[in-house]
Parts: sequence; C-alpha cells; structure tokens
Amino acid sequence: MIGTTLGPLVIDPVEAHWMRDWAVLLDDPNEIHLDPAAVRRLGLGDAVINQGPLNIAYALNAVLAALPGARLEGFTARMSGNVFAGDRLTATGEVTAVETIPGGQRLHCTVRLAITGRADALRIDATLLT
Amino acid sequence: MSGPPDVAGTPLSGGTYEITPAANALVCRSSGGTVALDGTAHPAFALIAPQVAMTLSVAELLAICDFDVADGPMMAGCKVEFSQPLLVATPYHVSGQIESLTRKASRTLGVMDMLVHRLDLHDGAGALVSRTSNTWVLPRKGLA
Repeated sequence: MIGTTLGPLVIDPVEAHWMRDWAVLLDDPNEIHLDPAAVRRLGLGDAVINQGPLNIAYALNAVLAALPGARLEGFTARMSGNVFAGDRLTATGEVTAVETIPGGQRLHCTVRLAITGRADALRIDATLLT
Repeated sequence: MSGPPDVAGTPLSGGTYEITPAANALVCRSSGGTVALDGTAHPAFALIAPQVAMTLSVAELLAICDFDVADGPMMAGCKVEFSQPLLVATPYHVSGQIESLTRKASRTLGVMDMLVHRLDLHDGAGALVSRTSNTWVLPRKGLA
C-alpha cells in the first residue's frame, strides 16, 4: 500500500466560468476570480485567479478516486502559487505511510498540484481510514 | 510597523447550511471529480459551507480586519478534520471565531496580515462533523 500512486488528475485548461460558479457558491466577491482587470490592477497577472478551495478540491479528487471506500479523516493544505485561467494542472501523489489502528488502517497521503511551466500551486497532506 | 486590529475571539457562529444535490454536483464536476452514490458530499464543502453560513460575509469579515476585499486577499492554507463525512440534503450549523490576526513583514511580499479563523459544522443533534481552520494572507501594500 505504501507508494500507491494517487492520480494523475489533469485539468486542462482551468476555465474561468467555473470560477464564476464558485464565487457564487462561496459567496466570495473577490474580483480577482471574476475580472482580469482586477488581477492586473493588483499586479498579480493577466488572467482571473482560481479560488483556493477549488484548487484543494482538485487535489482531494486525486486522493478519493485512487482510494475508493476509504473515509477522509482530515487534511492540511498549503498554497504556494496562484492558478490562472488557461493553466494546465496535474494533481499527483502517493500513499506515504500506513498505520494499523483498531478495526482498520490509517493511510497517510501527499498530493501536489503542479502547474505546467510554473512552480506547484499547493500541497495536501491527508489521512484516510479504511 | 503598527499592529492590526485586535479581532481575535470575534464570533462567527450562527448560520445554517444545507448541501444541495445541485451544489454537490457542481463542485464535483468543476473539480474533475464524480458525485458519490452513497449520499456523501464532496469534502470541499468543509470549506464552502462554513464560509457561506458564518455570521459575517467574506467582505464583512475582512472589513473588521480593516481590509478591503478589493485589495486581493489570498488563501494561504487550511486544516480540516472530519468526525464523519458530510452529507447532501442535511442541515449543518456553523460555529467558530477569529483565532488571530497578526502582522508580518516579508522581504519578497512586503507587509501582510495573517488571518486565522476556525469554523465548525455541527449536525442537527449538535455533534461536531467537521472543523476547519483557514489561514488567509491580507497584503498591506499601503504599509510597505
């Protein structure tokens, strides 16, 4: 089980229309998700920027798809770069440790969300129960 | 460098959120996932639900931190713990508070405030279902 591959989950391209949906979903009026002019005004780039929770959801899906039936116990996410509309993303990871616990196992996993041509967007460390 | 407003302890409790099948499908589809057939919701709702249902809107939360949402707040990270999976079509009650707001100076990013807030989801019986601690970066370009 240790070393089991998670992903790859590829998002190509990141689409701005999903950001508009997530802005409503999150009740988040931050214009960097909606208006490229707001991104330029802040000196952050030229395209709208993905919401952090959406980036996290990509990485979680790489875990959930690879470990069906396992229950997510928790995760930490560390953001390290912005994801822009048009980016190509790849979420990959692996099971890094397995604990035997009463009634089952606890799997420790790490997933990184890579952006083609730039540094990673985030890293997730998750634990799941089987 | 002056300090940020003293907002630690500000309550964010009070609202209720129910994950609709349509919202769950949207989250799954937009993030490259699939809808679970057992009634469980996407775990990203541990981030979405409390943010929507907390007492303050995002803009109001940032305003009491003396920060304008138009100035580009960014999520720096989070920690989420589940006591049980989130379910579709189940009402959850939100409790939480601002844990801290601290000012830092970075050689590359300038002056910024780090906002940490905790938001819990409880089921109808009051049992804790998820606990989320979010950290946001609030750039203070005017103080650079």
